[in-house]
Amino acid sequence: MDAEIKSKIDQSYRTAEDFTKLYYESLDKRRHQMSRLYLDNGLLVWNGNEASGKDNIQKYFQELPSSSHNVVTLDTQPIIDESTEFAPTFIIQVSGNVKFQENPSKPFQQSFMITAQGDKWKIATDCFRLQDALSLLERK
Amino acid sequence: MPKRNNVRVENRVWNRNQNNDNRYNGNQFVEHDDRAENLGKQMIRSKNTRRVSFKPSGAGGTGGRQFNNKQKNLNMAIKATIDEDDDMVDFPVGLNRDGNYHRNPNARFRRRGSPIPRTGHGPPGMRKLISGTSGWFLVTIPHGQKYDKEYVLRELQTLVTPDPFIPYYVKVESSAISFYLDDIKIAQALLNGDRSISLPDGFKMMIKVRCSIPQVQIDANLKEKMKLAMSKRYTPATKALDLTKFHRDVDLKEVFCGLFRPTIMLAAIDIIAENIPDLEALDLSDNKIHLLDHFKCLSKKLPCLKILHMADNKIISPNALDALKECQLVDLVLKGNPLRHRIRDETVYVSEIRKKFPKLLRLDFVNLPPPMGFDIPDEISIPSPKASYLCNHNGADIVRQFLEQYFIIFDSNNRQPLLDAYHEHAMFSLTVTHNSQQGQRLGSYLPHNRNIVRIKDYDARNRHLKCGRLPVVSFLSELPATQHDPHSFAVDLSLFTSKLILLTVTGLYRDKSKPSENICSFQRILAIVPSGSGFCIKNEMLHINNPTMAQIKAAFKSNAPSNAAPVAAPPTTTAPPSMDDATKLQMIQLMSQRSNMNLEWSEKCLMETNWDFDRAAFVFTELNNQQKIPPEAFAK
Repeated sequence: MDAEIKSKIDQSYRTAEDFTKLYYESLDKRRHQMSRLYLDNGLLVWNGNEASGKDNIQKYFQELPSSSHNVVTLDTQPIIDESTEFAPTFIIQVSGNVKFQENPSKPFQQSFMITAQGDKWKIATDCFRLQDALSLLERK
Repeated sequence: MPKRNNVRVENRVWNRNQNNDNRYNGNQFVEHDDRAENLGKQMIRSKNTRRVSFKPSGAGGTGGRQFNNKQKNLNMAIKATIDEDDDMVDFPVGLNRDGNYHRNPNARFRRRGSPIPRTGHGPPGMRKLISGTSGWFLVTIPHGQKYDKEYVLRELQTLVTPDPFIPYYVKVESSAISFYLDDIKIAQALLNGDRSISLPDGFKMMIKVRCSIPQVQIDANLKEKMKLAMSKRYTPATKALDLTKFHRDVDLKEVFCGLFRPTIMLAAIDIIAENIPDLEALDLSDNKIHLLDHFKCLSKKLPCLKILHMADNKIISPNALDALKECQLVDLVLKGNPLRHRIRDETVYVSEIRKKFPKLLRLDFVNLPPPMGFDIPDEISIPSPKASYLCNHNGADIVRQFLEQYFIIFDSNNRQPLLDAYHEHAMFSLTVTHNSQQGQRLGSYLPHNRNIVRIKDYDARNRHLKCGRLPVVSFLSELPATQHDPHSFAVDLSLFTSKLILLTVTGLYRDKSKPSENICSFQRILAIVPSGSGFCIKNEMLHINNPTMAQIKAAFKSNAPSNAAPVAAPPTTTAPPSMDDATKLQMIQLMSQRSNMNLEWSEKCLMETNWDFDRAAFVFTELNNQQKIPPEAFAK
């Protein structure tokens, strides 16, 4: 494996681990600071619903019921491409269980693209899916 | 396990050696101190009060042991109060009167073994029955089998007249006639009549009464009888089931079907859940119910239950109602239960019950005033899900075509054509959520799981990352054969630029290598870059998980075309001159879709027209108009 690629892969591990820990802790306990994790023009797609731009994202999160996430799997890859030449970019995939208020916990999957902006990692896109939301919808 | 009831009537002190009746060996005659927990408080007051003590008795060297026994007995007595689910609840009441020694072979032990002098007991009329938690009594007529059963019962009837005498489950045994009563007044009257009836052969009729619950075996037969009895007590119009005094149901004469027994109650709940899952009102009044722990399942089994009447039962503590908390009750009746006497103050009672059932509107047939609350909703609902999201509508066609082609090949027998779909330096990795409780559905994926929550070693993580077009496709080729359900897809296009497309697909597929339990849930994240005139995958992460129950039910069920998932739209392209298997498969599926023929005949039709779709469609229309296509072509 190319040494440069290997170093990017190695970097992705630490970043993804730190990122997910911070992300879900913020979301569950310090939701008011969520927008700081996103690019100014970042995008959140939450079960197919859009919140675009960090202010809208912050507002979207504030209106969600209180949550408690439990991460079960985590995976990450660097995107090595001319489009990301000057800003290291990783994609991250998370799966786990989430409990909203006192409801039973449900499986979810979430994917992120995070990118370096100065000395901070920022979320470019964030895509959340409750695993069976559509199946439940169809039954109604 | 045999268990002890709490009823002591006589002041006689029983010792463990003093079994007065062989049938009850070993399960009664605890030492005196359990009375502390008993209902027979007045007995304790009037008689051996000094024995009510938590201290070790100072009686010689056996003190320590007695203490242990006492503790044990006390514990058991408490347990008995809490947990009355045993049939052999046997504390003798008014047995073995002095004058009957000659008739009771075991009585002599008592005389010899009793360390404590009898303090004597009053005349028969003084002996007072105390109702156990069950409220059931076993009446035994020793030697009654020598006489005609009807005669004996008739004689007993005279003792209680004018009250109704209803003996349950009358049994003629080898040395006695026995039956059960559920009325303490009648039981007391019979006990008072001990040896007052002269029998034809000159003996006096002995009558023994004690607390005991009739035994019953729950089997299919009993369940069938219960079902029958329930069906006539159900009112479909109001979705209400009336199980008042269930054990007195004429259909249940032969067996003892007391709903106060958890096993019977659970069987009843199961029958209801099976036959009337949408039950809204349940009346359990007058069933001697005192335990509620097993009612915990009620909210799950009968989710629509709103009205619950439990008047005239034996619920002692308001805390017992916690088992019903999950039920969304709006109407509850508890009057006639001992717990009503515990809370004298009506306001306290109402607020106590309301705390447990916040939605309650009616309690004990009285409408409650609306409760005060706060202006913050209890539950915030989450935004309703949408099947797809496209950050840029120009991307819709590209995404649709890409996914369509990708999954047709992926679901075919040959995944090699996917080589074209991946970038020369593509990366691929897989994560699996494995839950051993859900069996081995995902077992074949586990060795490739690159879950960095679990795998900490960098080399191992790197090994699970497939890099380069060939390694990726050869890895994909080894995964189990699949069939994806496009209607289940949720597609999110979150980035669409000229240089990079980021796409997430979440949905269901069937693992074709397994005959059953083969529905799996997946999510793929695809980073797609332009390549030549088309596109190819630069990065892909695949996550596989067990489906939820809702997903299993919804999988491959949707007939209506999904209005949102862009991949579900039918392809509009015709076949290019040179074709690979994937394209052929695509044509077959399209042919089948348009012609309504099955896949086999669609393929036949296309083969015969040398894979010219338009021609095949023309031929089909012609032949179909002439009704020359056999019916089996449409059999699916």
